[in-house]
Amino acid sequence: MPTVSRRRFLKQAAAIAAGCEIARHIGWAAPASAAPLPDVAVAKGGNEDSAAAILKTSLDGLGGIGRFVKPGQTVAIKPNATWAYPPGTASSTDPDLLRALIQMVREAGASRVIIVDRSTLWPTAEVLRLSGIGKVLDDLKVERLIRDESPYDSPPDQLVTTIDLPQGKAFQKLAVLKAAVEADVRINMAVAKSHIVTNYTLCLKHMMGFLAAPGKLHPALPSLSQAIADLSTQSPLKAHLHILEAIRVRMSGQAGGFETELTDPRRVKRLNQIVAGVDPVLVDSYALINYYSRKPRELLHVFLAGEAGLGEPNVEKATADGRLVVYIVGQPTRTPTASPTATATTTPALTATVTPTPTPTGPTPTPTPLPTNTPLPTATPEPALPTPVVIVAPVGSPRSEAEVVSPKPFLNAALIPAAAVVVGLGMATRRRLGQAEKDSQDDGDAE
Amino acid sequence: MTATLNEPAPKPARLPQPGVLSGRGLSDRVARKLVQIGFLALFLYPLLPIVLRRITFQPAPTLLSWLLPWDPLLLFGQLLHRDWSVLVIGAPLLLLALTLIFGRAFCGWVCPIGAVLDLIRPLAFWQKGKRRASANSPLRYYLLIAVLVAGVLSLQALGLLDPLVIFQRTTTALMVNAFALQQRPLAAYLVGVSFLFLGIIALELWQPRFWCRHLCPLGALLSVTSRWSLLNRRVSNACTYCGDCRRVCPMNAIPRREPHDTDYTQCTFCLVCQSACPNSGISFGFGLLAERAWQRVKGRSGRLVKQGVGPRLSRRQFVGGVAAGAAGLALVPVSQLPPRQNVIRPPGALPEDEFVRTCILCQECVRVCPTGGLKPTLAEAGIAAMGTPKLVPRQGGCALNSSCSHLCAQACPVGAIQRIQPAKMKIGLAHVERHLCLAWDQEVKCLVCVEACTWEAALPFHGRVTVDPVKCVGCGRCENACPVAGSAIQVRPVVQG
Repeated sequence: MPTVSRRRFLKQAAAIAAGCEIARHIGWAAPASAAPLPDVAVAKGGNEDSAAAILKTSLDGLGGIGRFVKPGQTVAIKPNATWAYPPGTASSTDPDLLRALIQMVREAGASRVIIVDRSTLWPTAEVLRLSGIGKVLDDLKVERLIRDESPYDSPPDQLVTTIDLPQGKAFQKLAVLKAAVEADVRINMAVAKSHIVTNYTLCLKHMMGFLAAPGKLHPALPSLSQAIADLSTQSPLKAHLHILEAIRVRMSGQAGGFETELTDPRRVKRLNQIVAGVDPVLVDSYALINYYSRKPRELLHVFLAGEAGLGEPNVEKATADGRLVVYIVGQPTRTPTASPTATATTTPALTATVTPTPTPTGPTPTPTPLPTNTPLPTATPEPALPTPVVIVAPVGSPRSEAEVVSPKPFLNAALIPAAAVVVGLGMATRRRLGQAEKDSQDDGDAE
Repeated sequence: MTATLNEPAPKPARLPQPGVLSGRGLSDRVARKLVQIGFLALFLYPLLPIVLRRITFQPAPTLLSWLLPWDPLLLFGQLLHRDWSVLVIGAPLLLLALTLIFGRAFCGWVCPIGAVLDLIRPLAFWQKGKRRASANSPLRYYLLIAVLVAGVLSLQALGLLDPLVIFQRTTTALMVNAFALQQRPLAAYLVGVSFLFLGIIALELWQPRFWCRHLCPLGALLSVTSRWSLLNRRVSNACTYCGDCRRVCPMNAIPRREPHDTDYTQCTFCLVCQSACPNSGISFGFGLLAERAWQRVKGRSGRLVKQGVGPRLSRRQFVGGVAAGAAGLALVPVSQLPPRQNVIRPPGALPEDEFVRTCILCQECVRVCPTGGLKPTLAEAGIAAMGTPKLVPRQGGCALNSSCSHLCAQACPVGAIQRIQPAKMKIGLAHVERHLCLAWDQEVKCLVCVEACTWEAALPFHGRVTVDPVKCVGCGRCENACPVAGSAIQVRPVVQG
């Protein structure tokens, strides 16, 4: 019978204890002492709650904005700035919500915030003016990259980069906005809306706004839904935080319009909720079940994303696991016990940006054949028209021409030719007057 | 003194040539150039946003024309159309009233065509020192009457010959084509739009102010009232009948053999004669009515000069005019050729026949269209409709009701495009070419047109797109958005009764 000496027993016991302690600290063992932060946090408020309060409740439930944004980072925010309708119609992102998010991101220490959108069907200046987003951006002096080409054209080459989607089923290469990929943190701010093609615009579909030419996804692929699901695979484009605005929800019809919850309560509902999370499939599934009374598998791109393992489509299971938590605005949210840095390494969404994208050398599914008379969606970006190098600036074009711009400062310059006219008339008149004086003097001399 | 009266002074070999930067009249020349270039810049100013937008890629405001609201000829044309409401617009009437004070100073100091002609005159170097202005003709009065008579039937002839409209049309076509729109047969369009302007310039290189003295219907209209102008030209007793003033006058407003007289229907108060007079005998000032001053001088000189009519037409000119008129008549059946196709007119346009008659081809709506969808027609809608606006949805859909406050109707100076409620807009009907459409032909889930439609007229139907003909207004946003080359959904014009 083997015997263990006292010294050896003590040594081994000490070693095991130390190993357990080290393992617990570097995260091997289950963090028993710290409850895990949820993947998705739902904040429910009332009509009296401001958008900022609802947003803060949901983000606090996720562990605070500090979980996603570190000091000194560049943050790209993609709001829904697509439809030129006033706020309150659930057509575009609520300007108060966007203002609150930008302020929170800045307070978290972000060195640079840039607003990106690439899906506007309308003149951008009109969208920004009518939806109130432009005023927010002007007030907060935020950079913006909202181009005015139609979504079916690519912006100039210097704004576009091509990324790899190694796990993509519909395509493996994709032209996206360079500013979005180069940002450290991407925040995807969707609005719960109906959509005419995909039935509902939720977080997964909203990722299309990061593409160089989102409109080309519509016709060029046999399965638009597979393309949408691919956008949330592991790639440099993957968003770190999804925020689904359900303050007002558009239930059916076009994704934008003049209806409000007062004029057409069947089409626009006021729910005062915000779903925020790192798992877009879970966010969309929750929204489908609770807002639209649909099962997640009824929406094809959510189903495909769930099948591909991009997230958890089972809301009940996620709720039971504590991955989805519902908070009420005004009631205290649980303070996160784990430090944000420790959880960040365990969050799969965050590891995507830490590690560079692997090269697509593995066996990849063959892409589906494309229709012949349509432009290729994912190849190298098409040679754009020669455009001056404007990297990040509010860019206007003939498309956005309307009386958005106040003509007053412009008209001031018209004073230059007007002054020429006045001076010229003055010179001519003065000479005439001098002539008249001289004539009268001559007459006097003659007399 | 009597000797000089009986024996005309020997003609100098050359005209008095004032130095460029010296000599008498320098300040007058500078003053007149300042005023002319200033007004020219002001009238070109509304075109500046197009240039700025293209150069800086920043949004710029849209300005309406600052020239056409002042046009008295357009006012009369509209009055002949029994459109009395234009009387409320005071600018043309103010211009006519100012004629009673300043005569035709508008032509010499303000008119942009006159400014351009004065600016390019030094280019005609071969005319230097020669007798320039030929005898005036009453042709412009006939032209004015003809244009106004034609205006009863159709404003188009009036717009064709109105100098301010010619200027507006040509500059807009040049600027817009250079900076904003890619009209496909560009050369044909530019020549078609600007041939009158080029003709005016060619005539200027032949004789100074030929257009103004012989042809301009607006000048003829201003002449009617300018004979009573308060501003007049005085010639003192220092006059030696040397004839220099008559020779330098670009308008030929000083009658032969009697330099004391002035044809105020022609004089533009350009002040050239004042600086040309070797004895400083000419001055300008306010005083008696020009008509009375003229009559007084006439009585003293005992000579009758037909004022306001000028010299008669020579037989050759008359025959030439008749021939030109006959040629013009021969063009009438050409202009009545049936159109090859109907075109989509801007929203609020009058019914097609009336629209073609009313439109003066000033291109203002083409310039201000926020989406760039309005383009001038060439000959596809008939020769008579050449230059009228049409909507080309592939270039840009009509944004009325969404982002446009009906700028084309605001810009139209003659009311050929009326402001309407967006709900009453019906300019065309979209039609799906099913053999091209991705959704119909290839079962692709495209439906981009449905997304682009703001009128809920393009509807998905089992994955395909259909158009509700009642709701569709023909704005063309679907055709503009369609990803198929050549567009699988096309807007066809609604033929109005």
